[in-house]
Amino acid sequence: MNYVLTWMNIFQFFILVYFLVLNSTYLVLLVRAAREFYRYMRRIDVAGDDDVFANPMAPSVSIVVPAYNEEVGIVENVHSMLCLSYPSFEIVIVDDGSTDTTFEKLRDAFDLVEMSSYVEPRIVLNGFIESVHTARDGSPVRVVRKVNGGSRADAINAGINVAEMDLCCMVDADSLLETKALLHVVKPFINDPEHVVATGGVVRPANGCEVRRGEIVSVGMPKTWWARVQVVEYLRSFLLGRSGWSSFNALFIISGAFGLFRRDKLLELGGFDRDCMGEDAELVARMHHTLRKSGDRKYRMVFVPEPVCWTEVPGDRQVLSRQRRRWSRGLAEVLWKHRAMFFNPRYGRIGMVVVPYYFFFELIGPFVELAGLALMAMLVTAQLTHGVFGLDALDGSLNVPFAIAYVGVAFGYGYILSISALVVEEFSFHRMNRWRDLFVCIVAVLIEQAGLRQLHAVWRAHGLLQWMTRRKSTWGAMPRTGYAISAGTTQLNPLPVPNTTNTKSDEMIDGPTKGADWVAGQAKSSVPAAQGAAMSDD
Amino acid sequence: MTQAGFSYNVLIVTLIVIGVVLVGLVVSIGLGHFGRNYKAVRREARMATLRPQMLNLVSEGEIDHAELDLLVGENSKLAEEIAWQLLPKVRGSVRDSLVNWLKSGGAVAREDAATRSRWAINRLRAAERLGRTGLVDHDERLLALLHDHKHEVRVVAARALGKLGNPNAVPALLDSLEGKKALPATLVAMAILHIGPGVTEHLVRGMSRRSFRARLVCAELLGLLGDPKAVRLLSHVTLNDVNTEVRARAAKSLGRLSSPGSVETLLRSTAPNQPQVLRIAAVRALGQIGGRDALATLHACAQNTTAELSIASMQSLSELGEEGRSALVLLASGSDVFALRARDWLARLDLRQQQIQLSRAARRRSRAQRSRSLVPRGAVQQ
Repeated sequence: MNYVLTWMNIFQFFILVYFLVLNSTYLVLLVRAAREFYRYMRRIDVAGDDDVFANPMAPSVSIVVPAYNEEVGIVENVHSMLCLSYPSFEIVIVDDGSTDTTFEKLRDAFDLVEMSSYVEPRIVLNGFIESVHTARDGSPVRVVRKVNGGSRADAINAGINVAEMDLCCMVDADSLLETKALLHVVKPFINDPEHVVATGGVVRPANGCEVRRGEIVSVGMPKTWWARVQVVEYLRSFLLGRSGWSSFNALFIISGAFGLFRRDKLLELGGFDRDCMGEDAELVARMHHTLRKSGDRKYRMVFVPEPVCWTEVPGDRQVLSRQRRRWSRGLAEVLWKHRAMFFNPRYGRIGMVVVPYYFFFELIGPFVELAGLALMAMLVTAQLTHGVFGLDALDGSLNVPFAIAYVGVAFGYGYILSISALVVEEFSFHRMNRWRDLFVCIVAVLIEQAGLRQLHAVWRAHGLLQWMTRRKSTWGAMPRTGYAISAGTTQLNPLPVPNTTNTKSDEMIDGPTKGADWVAGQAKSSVPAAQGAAMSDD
Repeated sequence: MTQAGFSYNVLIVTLIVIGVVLVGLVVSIGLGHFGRNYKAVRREARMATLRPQMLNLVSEGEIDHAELDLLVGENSKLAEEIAWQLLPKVRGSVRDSLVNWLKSGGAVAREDAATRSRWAINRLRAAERLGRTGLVDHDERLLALLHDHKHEVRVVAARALGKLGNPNAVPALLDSLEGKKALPATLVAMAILHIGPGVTEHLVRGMSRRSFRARLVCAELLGLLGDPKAVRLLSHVTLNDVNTEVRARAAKSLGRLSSPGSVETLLRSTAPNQPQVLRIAAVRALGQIGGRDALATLHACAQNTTAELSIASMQSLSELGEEGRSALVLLASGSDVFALRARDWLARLDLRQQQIQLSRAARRRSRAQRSRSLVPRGAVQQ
């Protein structure tokens, strides 16, 4: 009996310390991020955007857009990308074996001319390139048609092979970029060209926002609570996970929905990993791994706090759960693949702090959280029922101070962090103008911390278990509306359009993530059954 | 108080504190939201009145300072801010008048003093604004800021010096590329480019500096500024500089200058014993200059096993008109990788020609429309 109680006490103590360390880490990141935001905001009027725009020596950018069945909004999105404010860029759209009219729409809209099917095989691909097309009118648009290679990474790699500019920018086919997005994310490359190898920008949910001519004109809250909660999550994760880590020069994730990389580095590294579900996080991890191993300690990956990219997030439980399981699997793959960095002083703060952080708090965090909840539930049940449910060994063992401390540390601290993220947003970019949206946001924080966070933990734990048991899984389809971009104002509606099961790249928050619900196995695929294309999660 | 009682109290107090902090944060969000919206609305309202009036006054050319002062009234700070924002967008006498108005109001002197502020943000703003004025008498302050301990201040100071347009600042800008506090080459190059054509002499002298970054910037800018006097120097640098990157940059600039006198140098730079970066830069430059010798070399390089060199050569061939096209057709007749590449470049060439024809046709159409619209209506009727 005493033996059980002793272990119970030790476990309770462990849970408390775990949450205390986790939330304190978040707090440190939040404070750092807030400081960065404050500095950034104060310097906006001396940022010199116009000078970058007028600079003939500014690095040129290839925007690589992987597209699979994106007929709904691809043309409008490419038109909006053509309006980007940047001196020299091209758009490379990779049609990854779409079964809808994605290519036909592009061909008609840009009067595409077939050039050649020959592309320098700089990075090895799964699905071969069928043809390359260019706009007849001289617009910097190129479309690559390829056989579906089973993963988004393969499509991006094809785009990198075709790209000819200095930098490669990965953008989801359904993401909307702000007009000055490129100017903002390229600036670190201009300010420190010798050391900056990659930059990332803020990605925000576009659900509920008003879109006019490919631009977000008014920020609003989504219609469903599933999506509303993600607005809070994105705010917190980009504040904590990206800005905070970036301020320590320890950025570990650059979003697949909007990230900018040096093309020469991408080619050196062999592009994105086609066999990994979290290919964006994997690429960044590989960059750290390779560069640190080669003795380069001065390289930098920078996160730009300016909101630059808007993307659609899952609006229902089913898609959200699939996404979270996938993120968890992706993170597990990345950490497993780069386990050599784990607590390895050779990799500096990445090996000693960041990788262990992602392992202990992001990967196995859901298990600890669920274990804490289960323990609390057992103890309270035993106390209230006096051992009726076979919990007699635990009867009277409820440590009330522990229970209070648990609530304080796990929930109270969590609330403080989420609300603080809102405070930082309100005092920096102040994108939500309506009182109603702000109120909904605060309610979303309450729902997220007491309910959805626990549900997310279940999904993430499930995803990790799937990875551990090597269960097969498939990329599901994410029904989406596309951006009904027209001359008038439209709102991104979370209701799916009939007969469209288009797929998109999901933004990854703190775990690695990924790209999108890529439909796999339409072409010959060398992706291992356990991890790549043919995964079936449900 | 027992141990258990004490721990209960501590925990409950902690929970209360957490609750209070939460409420405080929520209230601060509300206050912040209200404050930001209120401030923004008020500011916009004032801007909406003042800005068009100022624009009206400014667009008349000569600004009547007394009238402007009267207009500004109590909103002098806001008016100054509008004036600072307008400065980069106006030219000529309007700009001069605006600068004079800011000067007479003491705004320029205040910014000058702010360059010595202990706060980096003030120094940054001051440097940026002094640059916008274009008043050369402030360049000493900006030159001093080039040695600031904050990197961001040095960057803005370099940019501002470029806007002042004083060629004498070039040596200091080139100095800023050296040492531990070195500025990024692209930014410095942009600043020098902003100064204009009077900088050639300084750049020529800069080519003999020890710092390779300075030489790199000078080589690049000599090409961009397009002064043919630089050809001899750049040819010498292409062949003899100790740094490969500088040599490649000089070769690129020779291409920009398109002087037939540099073909010999570029041909020598494509020799197999030369560094790859230089060979690629040289074949690209040859494509911009052309000539019979260039054609033969490019044809040979197009069949090089190094993909980048081969691609660069084919790109250059595609820029050499009919002769280049013939060379590409010859290459495309095979069945190897070079033939595939050549076909790709031929397709690009065809597309380019189509685009040129399309744009010519569009120009003809618009010219015809314009000439039709110039014919008086009565004339058509007659």
